[in-house]
Amino acid sequence: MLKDLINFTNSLPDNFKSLGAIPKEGLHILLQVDDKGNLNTKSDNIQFGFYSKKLKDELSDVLEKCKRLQENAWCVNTNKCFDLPMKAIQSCSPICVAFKKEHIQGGVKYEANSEKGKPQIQERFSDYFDKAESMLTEDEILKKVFLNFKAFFENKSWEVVLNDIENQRDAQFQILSNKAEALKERQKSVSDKTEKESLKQQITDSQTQMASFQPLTDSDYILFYLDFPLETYKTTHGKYLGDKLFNTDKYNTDPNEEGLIYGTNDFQNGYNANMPFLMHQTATFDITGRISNLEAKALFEFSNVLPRKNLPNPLPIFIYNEEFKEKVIAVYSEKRISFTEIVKELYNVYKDDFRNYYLLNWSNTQNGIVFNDFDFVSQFQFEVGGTNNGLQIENLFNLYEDGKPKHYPINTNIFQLEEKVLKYLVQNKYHRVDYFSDFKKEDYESRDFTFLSFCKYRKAIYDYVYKSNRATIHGKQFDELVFNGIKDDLHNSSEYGIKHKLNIWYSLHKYFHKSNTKTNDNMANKLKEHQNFVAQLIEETAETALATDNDFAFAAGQVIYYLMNKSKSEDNSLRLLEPYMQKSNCRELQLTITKDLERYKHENFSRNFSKVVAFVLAHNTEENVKNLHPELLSGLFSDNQLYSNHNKND
Amino acid sequence: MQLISFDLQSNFGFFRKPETNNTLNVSYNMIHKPALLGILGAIIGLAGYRKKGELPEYYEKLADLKIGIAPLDHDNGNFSKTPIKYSNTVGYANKGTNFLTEELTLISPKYRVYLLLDEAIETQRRLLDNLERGNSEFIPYFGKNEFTAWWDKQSVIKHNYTLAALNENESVPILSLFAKNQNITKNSELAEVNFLGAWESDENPFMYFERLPVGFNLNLMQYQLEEMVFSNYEIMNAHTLPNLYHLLTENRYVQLH
Repeated sequence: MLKDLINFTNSLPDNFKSLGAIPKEGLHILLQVDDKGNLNTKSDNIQFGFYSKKLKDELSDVLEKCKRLQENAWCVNTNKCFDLPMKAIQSCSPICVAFKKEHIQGGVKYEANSEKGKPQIQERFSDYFDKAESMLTEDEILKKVFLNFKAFFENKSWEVVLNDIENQRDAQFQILSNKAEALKERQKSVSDKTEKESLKQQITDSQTQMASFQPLTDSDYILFYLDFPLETYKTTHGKYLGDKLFNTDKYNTDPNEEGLIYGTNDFQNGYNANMPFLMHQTATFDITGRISNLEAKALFEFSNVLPRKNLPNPLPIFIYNEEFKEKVIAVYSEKRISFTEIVKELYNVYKDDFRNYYLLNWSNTQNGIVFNDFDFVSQFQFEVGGTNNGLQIENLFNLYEDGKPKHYPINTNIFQLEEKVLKYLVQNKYHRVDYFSDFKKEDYESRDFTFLSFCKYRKAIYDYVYKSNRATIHGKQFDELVFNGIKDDLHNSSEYGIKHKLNIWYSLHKYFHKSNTKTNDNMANKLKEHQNFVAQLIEETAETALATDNDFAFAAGQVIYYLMNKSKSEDNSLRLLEPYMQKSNCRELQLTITKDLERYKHENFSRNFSKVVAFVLAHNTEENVKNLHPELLSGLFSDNQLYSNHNKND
Repeated sequence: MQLISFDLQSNFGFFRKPETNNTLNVSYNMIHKPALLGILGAIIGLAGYRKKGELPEYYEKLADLKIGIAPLDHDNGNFSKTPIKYSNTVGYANKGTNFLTEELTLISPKYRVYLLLDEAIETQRRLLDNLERGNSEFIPYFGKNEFTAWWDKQSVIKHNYTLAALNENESVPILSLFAKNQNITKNSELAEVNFLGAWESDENPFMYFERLPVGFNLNLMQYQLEEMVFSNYEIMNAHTLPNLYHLLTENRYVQLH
């Protein structure tokens, strides 16, 4: 897994890796350095910029620059910063210092430290610089400026600079605030609509500008950078990363002749001494594997790229076809694109290249990136039901939509099948399906069986659609998905839902059952056969001795529907079907029908009904009636043939 | 020397990839040689890991055994997987904190294992005997001891075989996984699938790749990985593959490593 992620990261262009990176929220201060290595702390020479996610403006040049410097001066995680155990200074560079406002005078943490007698940040700067010193190169200017930068913090000059900047910002904020107030006053006195609108716009503009000068909050960072080239930042940060990219440096090997160090991986990995369960107690080895520092760096970059969401999720990682890999990465660079869109965009031209990839699914959580699934896909299959034909759902149960017979579009690709069929069968009340989140029963209110399907088959559906793992859903699973949905529809009296699912079941039965049975049975034809059988019963031409249990169940469904319509009860919901659906024995089902016949004996029954009910009550089978539910439900919800001349008032 | 095969299976399997352990733990899809040696060791009662710095008995006695592996009842080489969440709250494991983890577990993994056994060697003779009688000294399992593995003694087959002697550019079907990266010295071309060959099967043609442990790097004491391939295509330049054996009755080939 790691090797493939490393190769993938190395194939990403550098500018793509920093695409979507944003500065830390807060005040970024860029200090100038002269040729002799002295800091220039005159107000005019200090550049600064404030960044907040709420500001919609494009980044200023200063912030753009600071963003890149910050990327190359930050700690891997706070457990690996120089300011342990306080973890307040989160930069890890000899030429950058960053901390949150809460740690300086007036801040929450500052007060807390005072109360507990802990050392304040001011007292910890010298420790920070002592550790940062080892990141220096042989550059004499850099060494000199480092000493000046250290003194700048130790003698509190940074506070003077910060105060000066805060005063400047405050003044700007006041000017804009006064301007906004004046505009508001004027707006009140103006009656002309056009002018009012114009003033309103000006007020909004002023308020937007004010946001750039708003006072710093406790959660804002304060970042001091020395204005050195990015390369210097990369070099010094590289020294920091050298061992910090490993989980621990305890198992690092000595650098080999190429300078490679092998150590324990830190990516998606923890060697927590508090969890002996993770440690192999009797194995030959102490740790299970090492990676090189270059590989660790690639994984670190990958973990930074993922949360920026420039890569699709799930992410296909093609492993062999270099030319195709480049094409896909070029697409990522152009725009944010989902896996589905990549397939739709590239599949037609590069069909044969959609093979041999790892599919990574992850979530961005409070605790960072969490992997949900990582699996190899030999070949992606986009089309369903043959290249030209697709899968047609037929309207066999005469559903109407907007007064017209419902029309189902043909599903030609796997994503249409996912959306229209597979997701539909497991979706929650918000019509959503999340393949990897925690189960939330409350989203499936009064849809218990659908929730069961969701829990049982969501991973199977994901594998079926995104990994072309056709072994995960066969006829048995498909039947269960459909009929779990129907059971919920019965409970909720949704006749439309039942008929829709029966349409899907009959139309796609062959598609999902083909690999098991290899028969050419077309279920849509089966429905016609059942209907013909009932018609023959009515015409008294049916060979009842040859009738199958499926014919019986279908005819029983027709009878039950007819009887239900005789009910004058106010409750005409499908719950009346419950007594029938609970029977597993043929005889018990017949007895239930007989009881209902007696209940409605005062009603008129059509001749058609009498002929069919005679057959239903005479049929004998040892088959469990629950296994015949598909046909029973088909009989219930297909056009009822038992009314004379289709007159429902009969 | 006997070349035998038998079908090893379990309801579940988890062959942990050691490289990550936070949140999702992933498994190799194919059983690999070090894991299989452990199972074979269990079948004849050889000891496992005992002490830091010491190789287990089964590895010392069986490391040189030539084996080949082929997945059975798979989907293009892949087995279905399901994530199983575990929470471990016992104090001895966690020193007071809860340990939560998730393992992407194989569903119904099944493999045909090919072994080249030398009956002159006692352990290998015992192994053959136990396999044929369906006996095992310890309970074999697929990665975790709750995933008990078994084989049917009827599945043990003795093959007529010979070391493959192939012509250049001859395309042949290979039943087992084979190593992709060969140390080619004389031959400039690597073995690869023959996409142009005629396809006369109901199956979809596919290639499956996985970087699998083939042994231990004894210096760093970690898995030594090699790129392995499994395909139903015929393989070109198969003459460049070492340790390729011709199963005469089936007229198919397996690579034992």
